[in-house]
Amino acid sequence: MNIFHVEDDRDIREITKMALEMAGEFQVSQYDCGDAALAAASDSTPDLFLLDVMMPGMTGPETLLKLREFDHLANVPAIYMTARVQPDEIEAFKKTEALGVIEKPFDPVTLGQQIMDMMAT
Amino acid sequence: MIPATTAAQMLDRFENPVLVIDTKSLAICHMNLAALTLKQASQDSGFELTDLASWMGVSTEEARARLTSQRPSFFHEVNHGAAYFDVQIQPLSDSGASDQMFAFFHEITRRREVERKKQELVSTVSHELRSPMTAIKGAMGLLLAGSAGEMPERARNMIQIAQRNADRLILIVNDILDLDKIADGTMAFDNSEVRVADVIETAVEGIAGFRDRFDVSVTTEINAPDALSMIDPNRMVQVLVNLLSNAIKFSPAGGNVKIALSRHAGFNRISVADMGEGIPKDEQDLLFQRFVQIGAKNRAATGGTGLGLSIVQEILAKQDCKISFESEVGGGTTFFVDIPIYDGLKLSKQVNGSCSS
Repeated sequence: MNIFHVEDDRDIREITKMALEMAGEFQVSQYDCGDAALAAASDSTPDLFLLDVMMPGMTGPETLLKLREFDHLANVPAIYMTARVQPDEIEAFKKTEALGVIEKPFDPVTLGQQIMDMMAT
Repeated sequence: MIPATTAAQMLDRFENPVLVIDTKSLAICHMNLAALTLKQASQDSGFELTDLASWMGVSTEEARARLTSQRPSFFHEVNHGAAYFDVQIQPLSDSGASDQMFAFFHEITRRREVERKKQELVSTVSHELRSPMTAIKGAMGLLLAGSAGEMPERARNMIQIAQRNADRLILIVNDILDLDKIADGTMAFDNSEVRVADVIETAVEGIAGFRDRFDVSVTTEINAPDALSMIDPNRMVQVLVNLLSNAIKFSPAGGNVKIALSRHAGFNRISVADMGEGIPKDEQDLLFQRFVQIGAKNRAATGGTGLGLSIVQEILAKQDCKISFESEVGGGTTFFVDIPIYDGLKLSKQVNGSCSS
C-alpha cells in the first residue's frame, strides 16, 4: 500500500516511516509541507493520504482540499495525525471527509494496524 | 437605624459601584457615585428592569430570573462595556422579606485577562510538548520492538525506564489539557440517559490490566441495578477509572477494592472503597489540590500525576454530581460519587440545562 505522508516535523516523519515499514505492507512517500505533496501528487496515485494538521503554510485539511482537486485523487482516503483535537478542527475534518484522526503521540508498534482498521471501516 | 441620606452618603464613599434594587419591580432605586460614573461612561440612562438587564449583560427575562432566584445571595459575572464585574446580589436584610436588595459590583477585568493569558500559555505549552513526546515515545517504542536489532538486557531495561517516564509525561500533559478544557468550557459533555450499573461495568473492565499489575482484586456490588442518570457516560467512566486506579494503587498487594452502587439520600451513589492505609486527617484537606499526592512516597511507583482527583472533581461539578470521602488511618478510604437520579421527563429539563456546557 502506498502512503503519502505530509508532516513538517522531521523526527516524526522518520518515526512514522520506520513504524510503517516495519509493519511490512506500506511504502511511504514523505513530504515536509503541503506544497511538496501537491507537486508530487500530480503524476501519482497513492492509496492513502496521512496528514499532519498543524503545519506552517498550508494546514493538513487545506492540503487535502487542494489534493482532492486533482481528478485522479478525488477519492483517495485520508487520515489526519494531530496532537490537538479541537472542536473547530473536528469541523474541518468532517468537511474534508477524512476517515479519521490518529492522535499524537501514537504507538509506533500498532500504527500500521490502526491505519488498516480505519481503512476497513 | 441609619438615616437614608447618611446611608446614601456612605454608599457614595465606596469605590465600587453599588445599586439598590426594588425587590418587587426590580427597578433600580438608587445608585452610588461609582455606579453613576460607570453608567454615564456607558451612555445609557434609566432605572427600569431593562436597564438593569443591560447592566448585567443579559436579557430582561434572564435578569428577572436571576434576581428572583431563591438564593438569598449569589455571584455572577457581567460584561459592562469593556469591563467585567463580579456582581453579588444580597437582600437588604437577612429575613428574605425585604423590599430592596443590593447589587455590589467588583471589577475583575484585569483578573480575567491574566487568567486568560495564563490559560493560553498552559494550552500552548501542553500542545507543543506533544510533538517532541511523539518522537521520543515513537523512537523508544521502535527500539523495544526490535527495529534496530536485538538489544542487550541492560539497554532494554534502561529504554523501558525512559519509555515508562515518557508515558508519565504524556499523562501529565493530557491531564493538564483536560483541566484546561474544563476551565475554558471547551470540554464537551454528551449527556444521555444512562444505566449507572453499565458505566461501572465499563470502568471495571477498563481497569483490568492495572488491577492485575498491582495484584489487587475488584469486586462490584450493584444494589440499584435499574438506577438511571442523565450524564455523559464516557466522562463518568473517566471519573470512575480514576477513582478505581487510585484505590488500587494505594491498596496492599492481595487487597480488595469494592465498587458499589446504591440509592442514597435522593442520589444514585457510587462508592469506591479500598483497603489502603487511609488518609491522615491533616492531609485530607489537600486531597483535591493539584499536583498533591497523598501518601505517595514514591511518585514513580504509583505513576500518578497528582491531577486526577482535581479533574474528577471538576468533571463531577459540571455534571451536577457531588464527591465526598471517608477515611481513617489504617481503615482504608471510601469515595462517594452522588449522581442526580434521572426518572424520566421530570428532571430532564433541569439536568440538561446545567450540564450542556
